[in-house]
Amino acid sequence: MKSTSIGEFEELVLLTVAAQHDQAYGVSIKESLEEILDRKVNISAIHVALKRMEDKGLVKGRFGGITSERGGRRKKFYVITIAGKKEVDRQYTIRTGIYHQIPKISFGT
Amino acid sequence: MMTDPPRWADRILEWYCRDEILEDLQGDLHEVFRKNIREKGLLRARLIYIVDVIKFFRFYTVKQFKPESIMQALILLLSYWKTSLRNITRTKLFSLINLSGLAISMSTGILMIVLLAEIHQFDMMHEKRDRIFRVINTFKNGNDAAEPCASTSPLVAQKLAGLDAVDKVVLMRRNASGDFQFEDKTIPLGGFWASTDFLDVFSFEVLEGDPQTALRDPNTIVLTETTSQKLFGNVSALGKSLHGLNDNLYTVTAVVKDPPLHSHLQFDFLASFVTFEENRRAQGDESLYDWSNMWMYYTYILLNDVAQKTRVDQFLEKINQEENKRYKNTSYSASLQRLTEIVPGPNLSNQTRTRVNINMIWILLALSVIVVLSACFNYTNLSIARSLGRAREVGIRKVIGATRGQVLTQFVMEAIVFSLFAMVLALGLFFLIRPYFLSIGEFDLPVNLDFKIWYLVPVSAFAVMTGFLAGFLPSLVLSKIKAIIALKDVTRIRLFSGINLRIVLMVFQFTIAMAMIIATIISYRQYRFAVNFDLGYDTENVLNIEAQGNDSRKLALEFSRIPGVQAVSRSIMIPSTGDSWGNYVKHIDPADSTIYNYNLVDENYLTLHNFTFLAGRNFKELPEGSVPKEIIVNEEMLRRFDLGDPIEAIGKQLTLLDEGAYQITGVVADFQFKTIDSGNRPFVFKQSTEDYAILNLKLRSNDMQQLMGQLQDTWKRIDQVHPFEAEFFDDRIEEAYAEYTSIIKIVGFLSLLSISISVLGLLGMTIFLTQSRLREISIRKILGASESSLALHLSRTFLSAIIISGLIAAGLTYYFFEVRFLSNFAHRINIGILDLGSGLIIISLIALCTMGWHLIKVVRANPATILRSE
Repeated sequence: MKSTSIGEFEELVLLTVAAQHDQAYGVSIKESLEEILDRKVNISAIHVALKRMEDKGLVKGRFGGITSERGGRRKKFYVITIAGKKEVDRQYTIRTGIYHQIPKISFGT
Repeated sequence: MMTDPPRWADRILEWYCRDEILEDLQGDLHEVFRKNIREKGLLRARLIYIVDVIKFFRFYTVKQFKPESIMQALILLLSYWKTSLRNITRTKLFSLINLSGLAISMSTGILMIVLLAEIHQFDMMHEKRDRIFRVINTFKNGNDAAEPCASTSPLVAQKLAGLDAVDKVVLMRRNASGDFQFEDKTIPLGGFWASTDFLDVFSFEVLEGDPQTALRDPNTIVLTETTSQKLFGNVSALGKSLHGLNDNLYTVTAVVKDPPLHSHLQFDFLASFVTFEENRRAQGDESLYDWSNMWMYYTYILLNDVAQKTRVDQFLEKINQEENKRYKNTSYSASLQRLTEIVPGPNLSNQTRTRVNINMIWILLALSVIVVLSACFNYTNLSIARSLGRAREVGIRKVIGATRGQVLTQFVMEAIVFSLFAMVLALGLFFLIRPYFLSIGEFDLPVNLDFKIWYLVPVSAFAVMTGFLAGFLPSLVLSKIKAIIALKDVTRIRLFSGINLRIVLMVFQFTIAMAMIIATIISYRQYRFAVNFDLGYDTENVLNIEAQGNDSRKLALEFSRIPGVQAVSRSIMIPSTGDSWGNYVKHIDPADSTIYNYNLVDENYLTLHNFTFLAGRNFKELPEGSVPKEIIVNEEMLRRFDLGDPIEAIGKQLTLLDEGAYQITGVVADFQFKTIDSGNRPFVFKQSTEDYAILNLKLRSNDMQQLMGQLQDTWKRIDQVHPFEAEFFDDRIEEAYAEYTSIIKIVGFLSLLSISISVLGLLGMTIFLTQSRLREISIRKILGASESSLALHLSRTFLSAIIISGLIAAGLTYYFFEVRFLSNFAHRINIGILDLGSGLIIISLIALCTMGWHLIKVVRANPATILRSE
């Protein structure tokens, strides 16, 4: 299987999609990330990330129902795919692996 | 509360974004917008929205052009073409009106395009033109205005030759003209003295000889093809010897092709500059390389690399400062001018023969733009007025599925089709008006306005642009029509009937036409005033003849024998026609000197021209070989040096620069020595030690033809080589103001154009309005309105438009002429109410005729027949 590499931001978005499972869409991802990261996140960046990952097959999008808010425009919900879950797990393994290799570091006195 | 994000930003998003992505993307943006209003306030929310729309403009969001959609668009355009054609043929009268208006105005546009294209081709034949610069000089004396000149001192050439950045230097001198003799032929020729590198720097095609060495040695000359033909026929000229300029023998070292029309350098020959230099030195004249010797020489340089221009600029600055230290009241500042900026270029003094005043080009351009706009507004006006008639069509199209943009495109297309047809007509008109324009010879524009095929490209672009301009507004109006209303009940359409807009457009047209008329009249009056201005001396029946090197005394004697020649005098120049000769004069204080103008005249001159003597006496005949010691001055000179009243001034002494002290023998009243745009300067009449160049004859005869014939025969007896050059003083004066005749001709022509355009528009509007109000007219008539009150009622809008235009036009032209134009003249006419009102009167008359005839027809019609047929 081709190993796809995704950037840091994309990884964060992917994680959020997984966390919000089937309820993730542009604005919800944005708000969640803003809260966690404690910085402004741009909605266009999120849409780009979602599009890229959809092209790579890491997430799958579906349209929600028509509501009266948003001028009747439907939301596009994203859900993580098998490949996406594998990717998330892989990243997690890599990171925790290296993390556990860190010896005790003392910083200053 | 539902506030929407900025509509225009949303529109932009909808415009560029792909349809598949648009829905949720826009939805997200709107949701964020709502939240931002709550958290950050409306203003910040809007700002963030706009920024986000911009940020979303990326590769994956932007629509792609599919070939199918292009095909679609083309097919649609084709159908619009067909519809436009059908519409044009259906409304023949209006189409004709619009077409003529557009064609007339576009022909001036085409004229301008051709003129500009041709002017920009000047000097294009020089290969190295990007690296060639001319050194120009700005001359400033005391408090006089700075005078930029094309000529500069040879010292500049000398200094520049030493610079690294400068590859080659060309030094030239003008006024190299005289007779050249070969065997039995004597021919007058004009050209330049030019230094060695001339043929290297400039790309004049060399037919025979070596361009590198042709101008290197003294006494060498380069001829043009025509000159070589004249002198040597079909035989090669190389190596032959010519007798000419300054009594030298010249060897022909090269023959070049005639300089083309579009070259600012025109010459019959080029004599080597080193010949001139040696001649001067032999005469003991070392002033050639003086910094102030700037009037007769041209310097051109060829740079190694254009990037080094700044270095040369700096170098020239340094030289300017150093050299000007030696001159107290005067300064000469050298600077660089690109070869390509000579024509068209700034108005410099001492230009080589060809010059094109760039200001005039701008004015012409502005005027033609105005005329084109005027015609566009015609189309706009008429189209908007007729839009009601097309409302049904728009309704049906929209129902079938046309978007607003497509309806807009359709009507703009229609206008463009119109203007393309008009372009064809305009091209024909252009060829008609071209000879007229060229014959305005006072321009002295060296162009022949050839229409090259590739001109069709800019001309078509111009036509399309005009069409777009004309059709845009009506298309906007028409595309706004709501389909349902148009189909259900046409009369209920609340059109942007834009009465105010139409009045504004009409006022614009009328104002232009009236302003042109007023301008023509005022210019004409000023011109006649200038030509008939009392100069303070007599010019009537005075014939000025050029001596052209012959003995003026002999000529004078021969001419005076002819009956009909009342008196003969001699001088070196002709005043009051633009020429001026000047020098410096001092009185007692050696530091106080001033410029004066002068004319060298013989003892008969002042009496022949009837100058008014205020004190003293005229010159006496100067014995052969003696030096004149007397001068006659004007009142201005007395005022300048406080010499008292005329009688007191007699006997006082003045010192002329480089000439010594002279005694005042007579005082004449001030006269108009320059053209009437200048005031007076101190003036000196003096007798000449050398021969006089001009003979002035006072003629009186009942048969001028015969007299002229006799004069010509006398001339031929004395001089067989040169043609008889004679001109009446009055004619020469008219020529001096020739610039103004050209202005009058152009403005007059444009007046005719704008009048016809306005009339066409007026006619169209009248016809349309009366037609659409036929029912109203009939009803009013039945209710008892008189024919005259009806006519008045119908023409109300037009009358008010005309009156408003009259006022505006009067104001504009008054400002322009009073403040800008006529204020440049020392002597000028006063602008009267009649002048300003003339535009209004003439247009009103024309309008009455055009409208009146049609109105009468309508108003007289039998109301019964009209109502019955409705």
